Amino acid sequence: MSANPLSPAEWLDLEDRLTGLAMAGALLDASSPDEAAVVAQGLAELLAGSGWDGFKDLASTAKALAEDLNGSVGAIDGTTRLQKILSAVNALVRSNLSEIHDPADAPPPEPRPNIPENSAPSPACASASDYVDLETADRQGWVDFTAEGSDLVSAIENHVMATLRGEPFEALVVLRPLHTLKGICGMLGLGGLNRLIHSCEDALQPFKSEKSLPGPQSNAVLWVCDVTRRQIETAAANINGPGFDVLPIDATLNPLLALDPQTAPPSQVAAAAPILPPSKPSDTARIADNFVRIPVAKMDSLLEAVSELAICQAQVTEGVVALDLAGPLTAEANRLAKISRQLQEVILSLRMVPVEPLFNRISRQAWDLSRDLGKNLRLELEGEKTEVDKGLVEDLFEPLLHLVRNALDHGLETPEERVAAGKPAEGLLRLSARHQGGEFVLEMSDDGHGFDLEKIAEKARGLGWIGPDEEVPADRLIAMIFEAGFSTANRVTDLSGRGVGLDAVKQRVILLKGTVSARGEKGQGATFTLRLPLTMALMEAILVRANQERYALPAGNVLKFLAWDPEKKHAVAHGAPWIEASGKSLPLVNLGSACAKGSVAMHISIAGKEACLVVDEVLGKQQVVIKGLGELLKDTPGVGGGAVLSDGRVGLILDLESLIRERSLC
Amino acid sequence: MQDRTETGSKYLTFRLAEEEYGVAILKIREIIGMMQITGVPKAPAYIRGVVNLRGKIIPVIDLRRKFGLPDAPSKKENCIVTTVLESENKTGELLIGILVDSVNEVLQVADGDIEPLPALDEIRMPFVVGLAKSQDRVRILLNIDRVVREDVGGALQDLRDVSALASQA
Repeated sequence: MSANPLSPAEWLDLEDRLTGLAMAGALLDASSPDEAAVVAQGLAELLAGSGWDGFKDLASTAKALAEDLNGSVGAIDGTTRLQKILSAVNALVRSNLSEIHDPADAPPPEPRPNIPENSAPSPACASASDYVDLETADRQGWVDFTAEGSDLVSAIENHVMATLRGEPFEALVVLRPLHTLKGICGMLGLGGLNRLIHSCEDALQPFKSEKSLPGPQSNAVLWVCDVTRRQIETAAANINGPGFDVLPIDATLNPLLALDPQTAPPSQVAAAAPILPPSKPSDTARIADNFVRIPVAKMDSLLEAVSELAICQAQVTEGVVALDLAGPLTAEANRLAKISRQLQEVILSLRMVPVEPLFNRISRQAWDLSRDLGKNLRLELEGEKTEVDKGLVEDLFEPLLHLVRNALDHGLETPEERVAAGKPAEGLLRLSARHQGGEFVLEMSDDGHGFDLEKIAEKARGLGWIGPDEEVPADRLIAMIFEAGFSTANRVTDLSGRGVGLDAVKQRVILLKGTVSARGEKGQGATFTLRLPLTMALMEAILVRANQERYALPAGNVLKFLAWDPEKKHAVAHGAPWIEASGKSLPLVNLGSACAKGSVAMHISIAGKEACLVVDEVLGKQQVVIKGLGELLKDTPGVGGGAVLSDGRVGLILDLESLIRERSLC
Repeated sequence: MQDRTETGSKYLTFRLAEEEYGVAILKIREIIGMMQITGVPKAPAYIRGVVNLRGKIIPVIDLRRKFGLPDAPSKKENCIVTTVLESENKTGELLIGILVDSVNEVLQVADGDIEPLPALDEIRMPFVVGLAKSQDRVRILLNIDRVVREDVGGALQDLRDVSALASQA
């Protein structure tokens, strides 16, 4: 420690003047290198003039910075460098000052109490009170609890669910997050939860090297997850308020008690075992270390801004190119276009997330449900890594859950029925996701009852939907189960009998611009298929002109362009025009004004239906951002949204399915 | 003029055919000049189409058509008034544009100066907040949410009669 040539008074004086400079430094912004130079110069002089050797290096750094910045056109990092020097100086000053001050007069320590590493804090640390007062407690710690805690619980839950599906058990995958959770609970004063998790860890010790976890233990772990999750949710719901009550844990419900009759009840275990201190941060494998949590709302604002940028950039580029300025400006304009497009792609890809969390949530629900209903369940998941728009993942939860409930309640038979029918006692429920034909396809299948076409037809006849002798093809019959008013189950069960039937599922899916269908033979199980657009936000579109208006349609739905001969006769069947093309009979949808010579025809395909679309002119191919038309127009047939085109005007996005039905836009 | 200490609210007044109307200023976002509207076929007739407002696509309601008035030739005074309606879904806010013949002024109307409609008319025209009289002009104050969402077609003639009566009173 070098000798202090400065007297305490001089140190204090130095500190005062440094504060002034620091404030000036804080007020700078990146675009004022000259001002930063002035501050740097002032700092250099102050440090040099202090007479203390320890400042020599910093003084020369500051001087060099001042020279750098003087007269420079724009050094963005100038202020950053200045801040660095200032903090280094401040640190030195403070450490010198603290030696001078009487330790008793020392300024109060950091707000967070330092928890000693290896000693057990006294039980008093575990808050005996049942109320968490957020005004005095560490609110940020609670916020972290809700975020990190949720991830940790999910990690435990997902692994247990995976083992229940037959995957090998790895104790560490569960024990590590449990340990972290326990530590966090201890730190926040959640004594009861801390002890509960501890007893859970104990219950898992015998299985540390096992490759599978028996049912009772699995259920116990899941129960602990539920309890923890409820506490997290309570905290999250109240995080902005003054405080909340800690949820009491009903120890009698603890399945861990049932595991080993010799195990003392958790409360007694607790009194004996000290509350273990939180592990060091480096120990706990942070679950998703390379990720950042971003509120979806922020991403949406980002997306909107980027889309506007893209439009603006397109117009600037157009203008520059039109001015025909050869040389650097045109090249820059093109570069701008490239960068803007890249930016858009990256931002839009941020919205794509794997469907895995959705599957995991559904699995968990399915598992609990199967036990409530007394059905043995085997779960299979496929394509969990398939990516889909984040908005869709949230919106699909309820309809999918309803389908699963239906399958468990009415689709799958009881174990006895299954064995009698020659099937394995465990019912199979399979969820799969994939990309197909520009769509996101989600399938849920079971190997239960399947569809009894006779029964469906009978019900339909009873409802007057089909004639007494009418022959109806299987897929039309099955489609009827999605109509309001239809139900073949004698439902008394609370689960499906909420009056929210398959028709609600269909409506939800339609709202998401998707379709739902089903198939399955009697006794062979059923498969429900949901098809949804891959991304809600962006679309590769073909722009066309029809009747003086511009429209966009998804490029993925255009199979090819056809030769269009306006003279050629086309057939009329059921009052609607048809045309022979590509070796098929296609329904004709003519959007153009009277069959003019220059019209263009396209062979389009959507959700299994094909048609021939005729327009006045094809304007080109462009990537457009899809925007909704708003509440008032969302049900308008023929259009499925709007796209902002390169000139800033709106181009309507055609809803191909309804067009094929209606055969026109007017 | 109005006594400033009385409670009241501000209304944006605009013109439609021969009548003047007012909408609470709190509902108004901005006033934009006429711009090219992209028509939406198969949309209700009173929706002229949609426009792009800085990246957001909003529908434009033609108030003339809503009130059953004949279309008028486009004039440079025509404006689109961006208005916030109550939304029926969870986002809580619905932004729309309203096409008017011309926009007049922002008027401070004291609560006491709003004349309610005669009882019978009140029932038939729930979209009218009341009548504001000032300087011998009568302005019909509208509840814009109801105007857009309800069927107000035939009411215009009645409105005119009521307004004419009021200005004579």
